[in-house]
Amino acid sequence: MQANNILSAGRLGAYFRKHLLDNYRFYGMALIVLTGLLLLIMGFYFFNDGNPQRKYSDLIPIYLVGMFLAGGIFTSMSFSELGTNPRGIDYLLFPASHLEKFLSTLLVTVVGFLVMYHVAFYFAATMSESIAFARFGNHINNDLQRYTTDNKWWYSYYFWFIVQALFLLGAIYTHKYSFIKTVFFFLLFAGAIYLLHTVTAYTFFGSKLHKWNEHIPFVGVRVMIDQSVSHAAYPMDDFLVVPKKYADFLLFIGKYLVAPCLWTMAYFRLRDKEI
Amino acid sequence: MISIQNLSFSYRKNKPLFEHLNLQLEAGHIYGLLGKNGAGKSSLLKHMAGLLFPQGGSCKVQGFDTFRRQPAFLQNIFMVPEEFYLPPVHIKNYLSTYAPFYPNFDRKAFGSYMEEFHIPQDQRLTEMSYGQKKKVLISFALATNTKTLIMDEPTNGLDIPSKSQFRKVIAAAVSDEKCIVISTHQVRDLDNLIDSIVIIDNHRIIFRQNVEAVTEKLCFKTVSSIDDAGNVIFSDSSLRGHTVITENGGLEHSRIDMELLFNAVLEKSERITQIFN
Repeated sequence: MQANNILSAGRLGAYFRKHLLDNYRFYGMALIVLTGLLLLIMGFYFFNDGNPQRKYSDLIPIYLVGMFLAGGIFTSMSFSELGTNPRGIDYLLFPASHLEKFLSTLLVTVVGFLVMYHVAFYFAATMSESIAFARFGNHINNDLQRYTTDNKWWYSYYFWFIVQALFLLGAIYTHKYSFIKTVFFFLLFAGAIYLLHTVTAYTFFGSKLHKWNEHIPFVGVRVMIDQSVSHAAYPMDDFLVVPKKYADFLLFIGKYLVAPCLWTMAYFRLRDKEI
Repeated sequence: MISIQNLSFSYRKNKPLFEHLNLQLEAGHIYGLLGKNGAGKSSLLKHMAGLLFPQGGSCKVQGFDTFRRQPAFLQNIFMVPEEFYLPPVHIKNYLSTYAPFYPNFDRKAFGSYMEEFHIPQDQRLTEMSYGQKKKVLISFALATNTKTLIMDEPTNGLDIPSKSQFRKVIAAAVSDEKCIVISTHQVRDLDNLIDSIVIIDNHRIIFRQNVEAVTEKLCFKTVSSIDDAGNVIFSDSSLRGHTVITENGGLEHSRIDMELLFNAVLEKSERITQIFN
């Protein structure tokens, strides 16, 4: 019988099992190191000034920076097999489809990472709580509800998916120093977009542009409203934002399309990989 | 089985490795792929395995375009590369994770190949020497029973007894359904093993004959004086005298000297081509 050459659930499961068996030591060590690092950072953050009045919302910056940084580094390590000939040959000639190999990596770097990160963060926070109680005799105040009831909280996750997809794409293109190279090329790309937007803003608004750098690509631009009237105390300028219809459209693209597009590009790059 | 037509490929612009290369290999044979350093032996094997993509022409194995690397193709081809990777796991874990992907994998045969190579199966792969690991990989490759088996310098890193064990296990594994392609510099390691010779040079296949046809048309012998040998096509001198290749006019039977033949094909290419055409 002709095998399914695109996606087979049984083969995907077997391949995923193989992937975990090959890497479980690394993932286990990564979990321990991550927990240790988070505990160290939380300890420094909570106890360096001896203030006993602490609240969980103080941990939000650590949580977000950690999630983006650790997620980026972890994802950058994907496809490291392709960096050397022997491992690359083993990877590419393994009898699973490109899609199955790609989905396994995606599952590990998205679902696997998020689970690992939250477990590590939970352990580190719980241990910090115990240390805080032992040292100051009072618990860390849990005030997270006022932050998490707002839907805007989810934007950090949408943004995380885009960053993850970007690092995954970077990992398939570059196999050594992938994290640094991806950051470098992203900054270069972002700089080019900003420059292009500056030129576009000048083309449209010319001398009415408030300052050359007062614009945000895909968001808006600050312009002088009326130059004929002198208002020294209250300059007549305004920040023009894109119309709501377009803003919603761009938001939709950002939330639901950018990450899948980057994943698709990474998949096709994997399919075209030669060694 | 393996059909390469008009294959063109280059790593760098204006420096072609293959130009309109054609090659047909059939099942039931063990092919020895020979060539100088940089002739493109490994690159040709990589094309057969789908690790490199043709820039012109096509490369098909068992009817599959190799560059697609479809699972149905990959489960019927195995490549033993010169530099290989084995995961840092126990042999039994290696078997339990890798073997299910090869539908014709024969665990019993794997055991007997390992026994032939004197490798105990209760070890971690990390505890093994390079040569031992290579023997595990060769045993695994043979046990997969894939229709196409590609080996790049398989005897590199094997000690002298292991080389004869290698010949023994390969000879035992060959069948009418399998096509085995072995690329090597160490042509003497393939003595009495391969039944067809493919020589690649100057971007194309310059020689492709089976061993029977070679011994039918050429005679390999060692003589003390070249003048005694008659119509010499190619000769090489050693302490034992002169090893020579002559035309085999009288259906004389001789044992093929792979190294001598390889040098003769490279240096007397036109004469050899004339004889075989």
